[in-house]
Amino acid sequence: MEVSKILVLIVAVAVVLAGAAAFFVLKNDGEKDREINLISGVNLEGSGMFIKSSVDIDTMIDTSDGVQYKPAGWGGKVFATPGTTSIQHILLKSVVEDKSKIGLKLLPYQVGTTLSSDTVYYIAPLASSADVLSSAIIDGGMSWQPQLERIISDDSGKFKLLALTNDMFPGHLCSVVAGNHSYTSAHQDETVRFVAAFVKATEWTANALANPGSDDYNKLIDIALEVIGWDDNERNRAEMERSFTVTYVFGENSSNPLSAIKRDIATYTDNLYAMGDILRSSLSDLGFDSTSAFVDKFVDDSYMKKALAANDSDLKTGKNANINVAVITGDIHQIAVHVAKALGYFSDYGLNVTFSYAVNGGVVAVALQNGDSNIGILGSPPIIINVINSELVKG
Amino acid sequence: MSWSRGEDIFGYDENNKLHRAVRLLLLAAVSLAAFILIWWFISIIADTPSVPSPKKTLDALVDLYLHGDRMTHTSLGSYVKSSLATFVKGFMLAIAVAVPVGLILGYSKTLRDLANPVIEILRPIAPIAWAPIFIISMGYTVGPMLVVFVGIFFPLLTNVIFGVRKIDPVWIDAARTLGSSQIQVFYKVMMPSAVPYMMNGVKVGLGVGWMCIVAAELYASPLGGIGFYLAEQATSGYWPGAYAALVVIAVLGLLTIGVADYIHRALSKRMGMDV
Repeated sequence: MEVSKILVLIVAVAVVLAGAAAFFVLKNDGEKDREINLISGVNLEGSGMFIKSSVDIDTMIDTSDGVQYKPAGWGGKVFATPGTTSIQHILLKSVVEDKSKIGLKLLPYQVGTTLSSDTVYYIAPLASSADVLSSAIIDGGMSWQPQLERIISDDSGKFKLLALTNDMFPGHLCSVVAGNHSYTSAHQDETVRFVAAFVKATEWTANALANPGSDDYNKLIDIALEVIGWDDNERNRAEMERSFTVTYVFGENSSNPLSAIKRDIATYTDNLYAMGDILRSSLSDLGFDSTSAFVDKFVDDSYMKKALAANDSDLKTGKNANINVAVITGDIHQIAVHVAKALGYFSDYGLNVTFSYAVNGGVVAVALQNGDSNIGILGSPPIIINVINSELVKG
Repeated sequence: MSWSRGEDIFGYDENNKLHRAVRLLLLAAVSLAAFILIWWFISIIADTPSVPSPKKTLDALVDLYLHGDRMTHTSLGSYVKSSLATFVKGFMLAIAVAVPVGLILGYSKTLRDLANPVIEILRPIAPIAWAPIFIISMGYTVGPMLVVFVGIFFPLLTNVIFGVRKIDPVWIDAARTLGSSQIQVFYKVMMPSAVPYMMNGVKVGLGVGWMCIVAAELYASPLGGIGFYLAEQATSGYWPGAYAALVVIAVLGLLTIGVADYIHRALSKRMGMDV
């Protein structure tokens, strides 16, 4: 090929590239909408720690007055968590690294690691009861319900309950509903109807749990068994009933329905920053001068307010719409969304809700980011970590 | 004036070793620069956190090098060491099994015909598909090693068989005429002759092996390794970190394949074979 031809080719390619770049840059005169917002609460508490049956629990905790930790019993042990951004992992990290509680290091376990008494080790992600029970390495772990109940009820007798997060972190916010802003802002009516159906299902679930033995209670257990994929037999029903250590709350029924959630999200955000190096962007990088300013933008209570104020008959007149919801597999924290589908609350409001299943909250966050799911249900820490690290909310 | 013949342009002399080296270096630089420009261009068009710019990726890579993984307090060296350790174990096992088996199957038509159906059934299965099975059934130490083994084994085996079958029968006849026993023919003629083909299989297998180790680490976090770091960074939404892991994987792959290529060329040259 002649040199002149090559030079012409190079110039032509450069012009095309530069032109295309200018076109796309000018076309994107506004920032793309990649915002993710928290639009509802889901539940409080509902996880717990298990430990090898051979371990004396008294060497690790004292529960005579709340939960007091004994560091010597924790050092050198290996714990499973559902993932490094999961709420279970963050809770474990907070208690292990807190000098007023355990005060040890929390490091990943690697094959060949020599275990040290000044360190607690973790393996993540290791969440399902089947994976946990087949692991030859772990001493214990933290898992969500009903995986926790299955692990401690297994015939092998390998593990027993160490403590529920209800006792270790009383009243802690767990899962939340998050929405892809480009979807929710363009489909406000559909989002309000989704939230309204979710609120209705949450209330139904809480009432059913408050009345053990009632028809609704039995129906809830039926739905939970179906969702988790357990056969309906006496043993599984009993295990599922014991698994409901979860408190279902969407928020508060007032003019400021997500105020408690905003407070908890602010606390989580501050704690995550205090843990160091989990959050890679500062709030000022995102354009906020305070945690509360960030939380006010991140937590959008407008849909909840409209849903709580809406008339049931009005909600049923909306046009039909499809919504994809990313949920965590094998998790009854999120049972209300499955209740809403099973009892026809979504279809009553003209919504055809389909589910995408993820192994942990981090994967739900990715489904929200890439737009595969319109709405997602996940733990508070994974959504905060993803929103800040990927700079998905800006001031 | 042409670039392919190249004696004229810019005084380039194809027979001059220095000229050839400078030419290769320049072309590599242009190629890499073009790649980075295209990447940068795509990051602008995509305008999404999951496609960070080369600059952000470089910053994350430098941070990883200087401070290690900030979430787990693990150094880059530790991740690389872990990945390499699993890789080398799987690689050595593949060499230890595939080379003798390949030599025997290449030598014996009957055994080759006997083994072929099994090989053809197993060979198309993507090695990555074995990852969850091996890791769950064999544990974190042996499981990932077997994933790498499968990835390298089949390319190596087929190349060794091919190498043995390509041996000029005259060489074997000559050795026998000179009084070599069957065993001497095997290890003095067939084995050395198959080495360049074996190295070709090693080169192909190394590329597949790297894919396997990363996949295995995604499944088996206690392995640590750069694949674990990649998954961890992606899950926490820190995409520059995930891309930095990709760069590290690419560099490790390049280095290992480069070493294999060098050995391949050196051996082939020594044996008077064209590469």
